[in-house]
Amino acid sequence: MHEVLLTLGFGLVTASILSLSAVAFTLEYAVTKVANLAHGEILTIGAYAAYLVHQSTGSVLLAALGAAVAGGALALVMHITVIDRFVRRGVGTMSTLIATLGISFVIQNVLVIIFGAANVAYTIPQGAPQQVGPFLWTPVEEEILISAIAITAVLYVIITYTKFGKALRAVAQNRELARVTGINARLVAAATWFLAGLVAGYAGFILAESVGTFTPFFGFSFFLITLTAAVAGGLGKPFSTLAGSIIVGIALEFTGGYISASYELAFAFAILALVILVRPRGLFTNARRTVFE
Amino acid sequence: MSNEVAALSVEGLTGGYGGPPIIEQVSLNAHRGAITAIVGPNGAGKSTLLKAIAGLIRPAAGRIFVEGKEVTGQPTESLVRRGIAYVPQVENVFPDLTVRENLDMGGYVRKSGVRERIEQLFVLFPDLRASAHRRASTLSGGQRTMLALARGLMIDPAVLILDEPSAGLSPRFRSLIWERIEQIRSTNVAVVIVEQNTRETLRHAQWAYVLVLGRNRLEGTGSDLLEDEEVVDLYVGRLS
Amino acid sequence: MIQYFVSILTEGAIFGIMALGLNVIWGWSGDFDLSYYGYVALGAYMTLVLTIGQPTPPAEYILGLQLPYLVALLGAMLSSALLGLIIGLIALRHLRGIYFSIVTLGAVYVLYVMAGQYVPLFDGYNGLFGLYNPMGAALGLDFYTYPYFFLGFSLLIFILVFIFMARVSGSRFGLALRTLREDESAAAAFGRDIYQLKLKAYVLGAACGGLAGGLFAAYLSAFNPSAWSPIEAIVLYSAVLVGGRGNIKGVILGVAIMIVFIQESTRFLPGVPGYPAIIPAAREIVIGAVLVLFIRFRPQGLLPERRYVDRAPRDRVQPGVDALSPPASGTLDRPALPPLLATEVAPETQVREPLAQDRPVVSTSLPAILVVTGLYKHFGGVAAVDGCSFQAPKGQVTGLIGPNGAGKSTAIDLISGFKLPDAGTIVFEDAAIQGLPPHRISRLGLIRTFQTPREWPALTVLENVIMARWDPKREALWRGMVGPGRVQRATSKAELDLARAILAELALDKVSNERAGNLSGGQKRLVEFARIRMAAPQLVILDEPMGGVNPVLGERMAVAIEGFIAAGTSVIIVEHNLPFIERVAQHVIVMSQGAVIAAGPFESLRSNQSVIDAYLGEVTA
Repeated sequence: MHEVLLTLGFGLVTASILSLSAVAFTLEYAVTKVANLAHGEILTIGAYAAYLVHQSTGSVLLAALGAAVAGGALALVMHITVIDRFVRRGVGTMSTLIATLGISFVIQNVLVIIFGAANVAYTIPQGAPQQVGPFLWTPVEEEILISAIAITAVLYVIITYTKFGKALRAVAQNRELARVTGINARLVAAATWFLAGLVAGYAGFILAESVGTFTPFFGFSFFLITLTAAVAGGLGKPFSTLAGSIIVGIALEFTGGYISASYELAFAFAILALVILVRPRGLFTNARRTVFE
Repeated sequence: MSNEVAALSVEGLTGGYGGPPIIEQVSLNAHRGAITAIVGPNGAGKSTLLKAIAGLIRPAAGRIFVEGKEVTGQPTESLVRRGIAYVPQVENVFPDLTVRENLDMGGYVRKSGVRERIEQLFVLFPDLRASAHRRASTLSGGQRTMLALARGLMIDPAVLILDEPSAGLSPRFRSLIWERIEQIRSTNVAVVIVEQNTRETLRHAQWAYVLVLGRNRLEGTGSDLLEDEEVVDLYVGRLS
Repeated sequence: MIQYFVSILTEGAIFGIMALGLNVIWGWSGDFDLSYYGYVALGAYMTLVLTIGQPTPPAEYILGLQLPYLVALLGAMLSSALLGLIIGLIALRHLRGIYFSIVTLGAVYVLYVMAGQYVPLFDGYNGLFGLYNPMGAALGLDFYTYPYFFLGFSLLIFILVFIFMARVSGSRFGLALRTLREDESAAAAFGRDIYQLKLKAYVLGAACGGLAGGLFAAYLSAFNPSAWSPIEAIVLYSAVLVGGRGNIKGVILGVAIMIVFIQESTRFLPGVPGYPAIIPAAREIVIGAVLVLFIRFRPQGLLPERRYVDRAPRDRVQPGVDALSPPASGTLDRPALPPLLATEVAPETQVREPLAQDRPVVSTSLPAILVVTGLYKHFGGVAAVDGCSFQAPKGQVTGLIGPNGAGKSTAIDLISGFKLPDAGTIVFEDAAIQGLPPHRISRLGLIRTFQTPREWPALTVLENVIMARWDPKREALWRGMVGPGRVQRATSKAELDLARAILAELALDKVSNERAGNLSGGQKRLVEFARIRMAAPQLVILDEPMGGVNPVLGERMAVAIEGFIAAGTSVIIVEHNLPFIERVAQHVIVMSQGAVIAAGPFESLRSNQSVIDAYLGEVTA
């Protein structure tokens, strides 16, 4: 039992990182109906930005902020220069998907030019694992958990209670109807991508913290798991995605712990394929909803 | 008809979806406190006309005026601020939002008075008050239409554009809808409506336009057109 | 120096084979398959484990059979084909578009991880090596002459694959594949089994990838995960995109530009001291940027898919009485209609006993070609079709009219197999067809059109007409590949003449070489009519053919419909344009609110009060 709880504890950490990344991805999809294959690169940029800031200031807090801002900026630029243009031009979803693949390629290699392809290590000390109830976490992992919960709570408040959040939900459900009620869908989409970028950039930072090292390609490899969580929960629905992420994150930790860590991705795909084949719209669509959508 | 400036005035509107124009040189006027109907056989371009007026389609030619001010070419989101409320035929509510949230959404551009307006609309649509916290997707077809109407009314519009509100509804709901539309009309809104049930529509309309193949064909008071043989023929086919 | 060119050309040939395989799946079948590079990798791995000897510890890998290289290549192709079959069976059943791409992306990622992590398979990240100069010893070649031999060998294989693909491209199978890409619904309506066709193409592409992989392994003499990170595969996709999807010469051009030219031209740039990774990274940036720009501004590529231009001189075709007479029965293989297909009815369809009120209104004494009884279909509580029953007499034009929302289109979807009825029976020429998929119904002789014209846009008008006829013998893949000249071609001379004659009769011969997508709405409708004439079904159901068509074409279309009857095809036509119905229909059925409310000749209906009420609406109290 002790083992199970420990694994559950680690699973929660993975789930926290995953949920931030997946919710950001699903927000991007929600307002533009574009599956952004370059999403992983937003995390990567976040990791690098945090690294730079930490190197120059030594402050973890500033590093985290730097990661978020860098992520937000990248997402916004991506949206304005490519995605929004494609959407308004009526370019098909498949073609836009291919374009995001190209963008992903470009960003990864720009990072290679700037930083080199080698591993970059964070020098942020993890701290010693502490016993918290039945779980064993390092201080950094505790920060990750708490910050993820906090950010999710803030997102929930924004999406549910603010005017912007309502506009976001409207655009996500029916872009034309939203416009008909006077909402400027383009502006809302751009702002949402910025918000998603902030969250994803921060997710990149905590992912790199938790793994310890990263390269220009590490966001892309995490992306498949993100994709699994987002599709499993339901593309475009932030809170189902959250639920999906928690389940996938914990499931991965258990399969990793009890079978083999290196097959993580294989299991992620198995889950993904299963979900898409059985319920392409996600596990939670049409389910009885609670306070979470 | 009153002689005041028309709430909505359309001149020579021509447009379509990118290919050949669906409507050509269409003109109409709608006044506050009146129901202005647009009828005609299928393929006449009635829905396209409404979308063009609502700013969802950019007209290739023609002009649109709201309360005397020109608004031609402005996108939908700006027209809402000018007082045009458009209620589409399908997908006219946000399915995952509650009734109250839908109405809230309708009041998005309001600077103030959203709560009060919702209260007023609950008086007009008591059914909606009862289901205020239900998700729109769980409502019946008729209730959804009521919600869509109410959503449009949130901005206190000068012009309310309705695209086949009673489509697919039972006769009971159809008469309920017409009751509401009458009430809306009496609050000095200009109602522009396209409907399948031509006779019913002409019975309620103060003024009506008959559109055929994208062009104006006839116009007149509702009761006049109701008697007009030509209208019957247009539908069941001697003339075309 | 010469060595350098030899190796570039060899690489070009190998990637050319890869691109040709990807072209089958992405270019012709139209699916953005992200797992393609996995088939290449598997081919490389399998070739290695089949040719090298037993593993010496600590290395671990499967097989190690030391088979001859050519045998290993065959094994590589087969294993990639098998993997393609497995992935295709899963992914192609229900998925298209984004979801298909995501699942295939996941598949290749899993393969990549398995290859790297599961060491007993291919020695994990160390990979396999030791395939030195295959066939070299047998031919007595030394280290210096071998590269020339291998270049020749690779080029030979490349040329063979190219010829093969050229044959497939011009074959009826290739054309059928493209109809799927252009419009699946129309393809199904004309008898194509979508799943089967796509699967065949997918396996073919995968096998091609495996072959290229086998050559690649020999070229590199080794293979490990670093040679195939999924990211690098993007270069292959960009080559196919830039060159021109669907055009075999185009994809070769794409390989030449993206893979050979860009890689090699940057090889000679002076490196930036201290930053060895810059030039390769800059190269990949260019490739990524090219991908984005091309997909936006030139998605068809530099050499777009070519259309077949029919060069037959027009004055050889004599439109007239001969063209109107039905084709000799010998040229049409009509399958004998099976008796009541009780076993084929899908379990979801409940066939309830027809009730008294379901008995269809019989207004003529002609035999019925279609009998619909008690058809019922609901969507979320609303009955779109509610106990609909009618008969369509053979050899006549039956109009199906009614106000918007009457359920006419849904009824058509149910009859033609595009939707499953909740209850009711549909009997076509004494065979029960409810529950059958659309392509089966089509093959039985019932073809339908759609509310919007569904031509195959990238195909020419002539190609559209030729492909209207489902020809199972000619459309088989092997026919396209290996049949001798006459047999391999997409169509016979007789069929071609017939197609030309039909087009002339409909006054479309001047546009026969135009891509169908470039025509006006009315012309597209006429092309659809030409397709019907070509397919010569027993029954055609036209779904609002006058929709969006300029009324001046009305007479032409009416004549075309009369041509159907003369050719032995019964017609059911759904229309809102009532004067048109009056012009063409002998028998009219009126639907309202999901059921039939009246039937008979048009004149009698015009004064029928319930019909007028249905159209103009009842006045509620």
